[in-house]
Amino acid sequence: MSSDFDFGEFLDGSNQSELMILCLELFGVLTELKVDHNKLETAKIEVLNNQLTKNFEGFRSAISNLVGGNKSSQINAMKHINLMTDTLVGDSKSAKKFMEIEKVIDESINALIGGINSADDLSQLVQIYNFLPNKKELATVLSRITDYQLKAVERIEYVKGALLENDVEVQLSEILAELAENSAAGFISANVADVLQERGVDFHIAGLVTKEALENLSDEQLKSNILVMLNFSEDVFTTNPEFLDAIQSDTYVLTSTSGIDQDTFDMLLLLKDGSRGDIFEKYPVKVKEYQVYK
Amino acid sequence: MSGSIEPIVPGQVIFEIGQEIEKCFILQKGSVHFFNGREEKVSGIAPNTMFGFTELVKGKSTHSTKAVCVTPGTVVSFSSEVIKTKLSAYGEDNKLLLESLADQLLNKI
Repeated sequence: MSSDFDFGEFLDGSNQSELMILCLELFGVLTELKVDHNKLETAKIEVLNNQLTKNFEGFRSAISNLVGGNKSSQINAMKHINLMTDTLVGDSKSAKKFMEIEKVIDESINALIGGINSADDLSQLVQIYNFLPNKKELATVLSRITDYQLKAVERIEYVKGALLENDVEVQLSEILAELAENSAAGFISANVADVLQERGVDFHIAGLVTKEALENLSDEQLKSNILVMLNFSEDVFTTNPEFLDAIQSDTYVLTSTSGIDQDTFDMLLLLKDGSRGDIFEKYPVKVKEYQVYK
Repeated sequence: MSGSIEPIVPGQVIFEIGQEIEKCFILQKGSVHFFNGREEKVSGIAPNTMFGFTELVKGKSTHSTKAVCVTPGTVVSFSSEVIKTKLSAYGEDNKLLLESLADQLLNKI
């Protein structure tokens, strides 16, 4: 195991501000109506060459895999940049840079919305809204809408129309309620999502849990049984072929999705009655245990 | 092993008393309180503070406090191997100084 996290370097506030400014610059390039590939490459290299970037493998990998014209790589990079800029401690220079980028986004947001014609474009807008402090609530609702994996063009046009209205929050909430009502798969109700969020589950993940996943579970189990998030590389299926059997025999799989790091998965699991939280100790997985609902 | 950014929410237990020290943390946003075995608060920390490593300085491998998130935020976590490697590079005099500082902190618990 290498030990390459340089905490001294990280704890230096000026280093954090420096990386934040580079992240903001890159985010700004990614939100332009027509991404300038040369500017993108320059901003990307600046971030990759920053001394703090090497401390975060997942972040470095997302930026490294960023390719102009590849929407999914752009969305993934924006997700990582949002997480990074929300985490780093800035200073007056980074605050100034943030205002500069925020102004550019504010001026182009309507044109960006007008250009939406795919589910990926909506996912990109989620990241842009997440970037803007006063749009985070909107990002939450839009993110839950995109979780329904809108494919039909008319649906996307419908959402796009709502995004341009003055009462966009109300309109999007109505669309979300409608989608939940009509969904064949049936995502869980707000109450159950609230229980999961109360236990500490991120809203993006809670919103992915389906009614089917909860079919044989009582409210009490959902509130009190051990709830964990596993993050693992797909390699585990090769190195530990019994891993999947262990999951199936000891847990209820509430949902799974791709992890932040490349080739990894996140799996939200509720342990069966009597199962212990240490059952995954022997596997090369990261385990995050959530609190009990109070 | 590189660092990870982890969101924390109020009430979330970041580590428990007796738990193996596998990761150390830097609190970036939010606040964290520490409790002893009697569930009494022994300290609290604000952002830009490293925590979860004091026992390693004393050569112990488990946490002697429980760390609980009080206000939401984020931590950066990294392998405790990073601290162990740094500690192993210290000379005996420096180690004694660090151990006495760690003693002072741990005796508060």
